[in-house]
Amino acid sequence: MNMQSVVSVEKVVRRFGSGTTEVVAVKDISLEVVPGEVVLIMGPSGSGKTTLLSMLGGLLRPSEGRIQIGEDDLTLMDESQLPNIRLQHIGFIFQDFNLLSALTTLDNVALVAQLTGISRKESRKKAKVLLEQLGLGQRLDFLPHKLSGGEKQRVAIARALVNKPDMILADEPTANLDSHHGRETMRLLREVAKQEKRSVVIVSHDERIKEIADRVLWLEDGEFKDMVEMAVDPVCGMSIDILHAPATADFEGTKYYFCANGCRHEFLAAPNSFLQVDHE
Amino acid sequence: MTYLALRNLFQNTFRLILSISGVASSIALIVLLRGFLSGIYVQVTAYLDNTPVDWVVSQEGIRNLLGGTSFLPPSTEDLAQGISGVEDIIPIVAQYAILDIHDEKVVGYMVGYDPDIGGGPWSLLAGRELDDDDEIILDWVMAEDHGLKIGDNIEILDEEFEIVGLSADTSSWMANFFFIKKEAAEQLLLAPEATSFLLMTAKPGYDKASIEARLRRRLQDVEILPSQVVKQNDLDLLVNIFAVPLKMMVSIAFAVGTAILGMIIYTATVSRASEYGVLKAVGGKNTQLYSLVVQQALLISVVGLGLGILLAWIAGQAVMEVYPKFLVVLRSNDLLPTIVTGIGMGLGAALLPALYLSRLDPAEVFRR
Repeated sequence: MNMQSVVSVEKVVRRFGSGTTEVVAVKDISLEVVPGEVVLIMGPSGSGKTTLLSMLGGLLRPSEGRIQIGEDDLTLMDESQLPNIRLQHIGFIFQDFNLLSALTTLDNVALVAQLTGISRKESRKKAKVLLEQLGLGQRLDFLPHKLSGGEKQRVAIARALVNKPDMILADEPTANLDSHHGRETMRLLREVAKQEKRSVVIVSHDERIKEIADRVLWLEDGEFKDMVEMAVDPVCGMSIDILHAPATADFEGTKYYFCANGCRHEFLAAPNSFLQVDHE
Repeated sequence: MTYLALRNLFQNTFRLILSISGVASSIALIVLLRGFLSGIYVQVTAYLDNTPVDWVVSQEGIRNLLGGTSFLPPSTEDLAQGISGVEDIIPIVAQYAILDIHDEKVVGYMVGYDPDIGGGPWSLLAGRELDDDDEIILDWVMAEDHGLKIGDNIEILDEEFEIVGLSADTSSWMANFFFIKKEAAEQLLLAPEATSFLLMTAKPGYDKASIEARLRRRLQDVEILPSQVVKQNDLDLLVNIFAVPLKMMVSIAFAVGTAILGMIIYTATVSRASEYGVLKAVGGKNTQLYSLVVQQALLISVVGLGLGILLAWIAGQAVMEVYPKFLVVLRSNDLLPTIVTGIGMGLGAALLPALYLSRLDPAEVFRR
């Protein structure tokens, strides 16, 4: 492991099932993330992104290989030790925000601090400071259903940060946000990484996140592949490896890449309607 | 975690009310059934509890007061006189008898006693003590049930008696007590000078074991039993028939209450599975999640417990108002078992949700 790395993944394999039904979701993956680095992992559905993210978060054990967070080797740890690692070293951000519906903004964040054993008063104090920094000072007593998508994601970010973790794992953090709130979330994640020197690993299909990523990794069939030139399917917005695009079409001198023939047909039927769409 | 438990509970007030009502109903039923059983205990031993008696002397082979007919040998009372340490000897004629009330045959427990010696009613609700052989003191519930009042006449075994008093605490689910003079009872039974039981008391300061030994030496071919033994024999004979089904009903109420609470807590837990999954994913330990569901179940059961006891008290009062012969006794020393029952209900109900949480895979939060 590189002395500077926050997380080190060494030849990790994850299999599901056995015998004829065995599926290898992640194949021999290695990765190192240094403090302050923003790593974006992209790839098609079923490529193993979620499995990798779950293993990085100590939620799933690899079948082979090692995952180390700081000095702690997750693969050698007892099941009962993992919650503490997640609590102290990893912050999670989910696509659906996953806030506790019965708790206010303040308590959603404070509860995670309280899980470490500090008092409710102390944890609320910490949460309040953090939420105010994220511009949610006026929303402390709001229940999640009263918040906008962007506000919910900021609460989720505050929750991920409240125990000052070494690493933030974000699963499709912009998927349920409009472009304005998506950009705001990206900016926040970059700030967290750069100002607080926390590593941020993001799994996403969202091309916009490339703008803030220090490194973009392409995961396909459970393996990291070279990041080749990517294009966006103008119909569904999916990222396409142009060398392996299932379908292409030329329109007014420009080549377009599609995830499937269905999107290509749809595009050819009314190209202008798709080209007017701002996928950003 | 307590705060989250409270917030979770109060977020769905309908579910909260439903679960508290389920627990309260079960607890009320349990307390009421136990109260009813305690009431039967009180009723069965009421006579011996309220009449001063250390030993009951009865016919040989008759070991209880309410279960059989006893006739003592005529010389027994005379032989018992003068035994050192015996203070009082109360002879009574007692057995079940049929009363003819408004052409209806009613079973009552007749006690023939001498008002000058004792053994009669211990609490008069109205009227006076007996003066003559043709007078009767009737249990007030029996009187009320049959529209009788002081001054009315009733017939027992073809003899007319005038009601001169109404006794309290002498009703029971089996048969209500009525009291006539001992001579009148002897005449009714066509057994002059007959005595069913001698109720004896010891003089203060005397050793009861020694007195009992002297009694046994003096009185032959009779039963000499401490009043506690006779009471227990009556309870064994008359109450245990009911105790088993009543205890079974208590168990069923407990199981139903636990199941209702368990199902509600379980469905509430399942409906929040994704939230609990998030808690696990971010580092919440299983023990913290168990504590959450246990606290929720206990909060419901504690509130349900209080409400259930209150409901039982109200229902008990209502039952006694409508059916005075049924006595519901809520004893303070039954409170501890009831609290244990309620807490047991909460803990039992939390088992299944806790098992569910222990199996909840936190990695599910990333799967959609």
